[in-house]
Amino acid sequence: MIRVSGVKKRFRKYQILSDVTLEMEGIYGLVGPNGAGKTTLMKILSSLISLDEGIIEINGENYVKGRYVKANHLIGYLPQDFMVYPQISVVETLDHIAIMQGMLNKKERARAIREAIDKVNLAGHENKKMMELSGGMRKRVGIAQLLMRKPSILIFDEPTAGLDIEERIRFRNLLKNLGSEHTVIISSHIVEDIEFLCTKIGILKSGRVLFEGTPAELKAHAEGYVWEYHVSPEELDYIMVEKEVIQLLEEEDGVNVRVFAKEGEEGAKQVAPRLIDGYLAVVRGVN
Amino acid sequence: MRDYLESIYATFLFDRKTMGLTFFVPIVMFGLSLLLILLVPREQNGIYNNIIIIQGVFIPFSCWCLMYRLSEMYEEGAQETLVPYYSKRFGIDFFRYFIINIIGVFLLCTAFVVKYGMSSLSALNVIHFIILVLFYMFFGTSLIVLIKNIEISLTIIIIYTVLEVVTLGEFMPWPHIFLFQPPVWDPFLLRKFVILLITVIALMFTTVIFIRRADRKPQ
Repeated sequence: MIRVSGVKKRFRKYQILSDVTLEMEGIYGLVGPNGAGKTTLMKILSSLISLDEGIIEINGENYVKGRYVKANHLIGYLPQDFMVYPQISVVETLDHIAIMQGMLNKKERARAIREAIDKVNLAGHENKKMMELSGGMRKRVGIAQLLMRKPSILIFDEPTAGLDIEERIRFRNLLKNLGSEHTVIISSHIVEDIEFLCTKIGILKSGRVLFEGTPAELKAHAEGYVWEYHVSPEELDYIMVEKEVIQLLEEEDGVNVRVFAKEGEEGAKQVAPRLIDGYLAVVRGVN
Repeated sequence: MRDYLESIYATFLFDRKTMGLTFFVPIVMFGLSLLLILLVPREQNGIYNNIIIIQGVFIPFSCWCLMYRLSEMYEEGAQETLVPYYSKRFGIDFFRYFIINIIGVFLLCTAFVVKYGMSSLSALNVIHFIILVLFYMFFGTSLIVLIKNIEISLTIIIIYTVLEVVTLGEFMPWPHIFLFQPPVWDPFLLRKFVILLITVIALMFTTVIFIRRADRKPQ
């Protein structure tokens, strides 16, 4: 478990993180709007940037040394846009990274690469150049290089950004599998990314923690605020302008419109909130 | 030890693949220097011009491959992944190219001695060559970790070197690192060596500090 206590980060006149305290475990989703400070926190944990104040404990031990978190051996970080050595093949890239990780024995490297490639389902693509891979495959190479050094914590920054629907689903399944052996932290501004995946969720906004808890606790924040209207396609334009529409679901005889509101109007029925509703309730300070 | 040497060899092969033909530029400059030393007739070629060739043609390219290697860190999407690895391995990368460059310097010195005799080459020149190699390597690495752009960094090095060699260190108002006259151990030369060494140390610290600080702006 990673315990983040009182972490502060300032950059010039901007306070990026203000007294952030979180307990990250299992498959943890860190969500928030753009500019909330999620990437900064991920980079602090991965010792890519310094922190001004605070404690980062991993399994009870504080890893802040000076102004950096020194836990590179425990933490693997996959940035949003992973791309290395475009002209080189996947297997050569992994072999070189394995050398830089300190694996000097050729056979040991080959074994580690094989294992990592199998784990991320890249078999059959080993000899493709990095530039020939799709965004999702490149990210899987990124995960493979992290897995080779066997970190116990994996951090993913916006893991599904730029992926098509199929890759998004495949990637989500991969993250789920990784969660059985590692602590996985996923930072995203898309709530759907973490739905059904995370066991615990933290919400950051403007560098402050607004919420931390289970998905059920997050959903509970929107209890009583989600309404569903059944409207005809002609009425849809009006409702889209007038109400705060969260989701549309096409039916044979019209459209089911989920709306986030304090009170429902005539024809609206209250429905059970989903994760996105809880997120909206927290971010808007409704509950 | 065998694993270590094998991994060093694999890294050289990897550099050759990532750099493509540019990997061979220092080798071409070495060949050119060797040809100039060996083939130009003695009477057309003042003996000390050969020393200037080693200083001005071969040694400035000693930073070339290492700069290209470090520049891989600053390609789009690579920084966060490669900076921790490259900064940790910088010592090994520096050392392997330093050894290659020193071998190059000694081969050129050997060619020089074979052609002109042992007495033509001063020990001071050899020491100066080694310090110059260190200077250029750390100058190149400092520029790349500060500017994070290979083209601009190489341009600065090439402009500095060409201006120094063409003007024989007499025109531009900046520190002159080459020896354009046969060396005599006097306070002037001592001062030059001390300044060069201090610069090398300063550039080394610049590299070591800034190589870890690639794009550390929060987002």
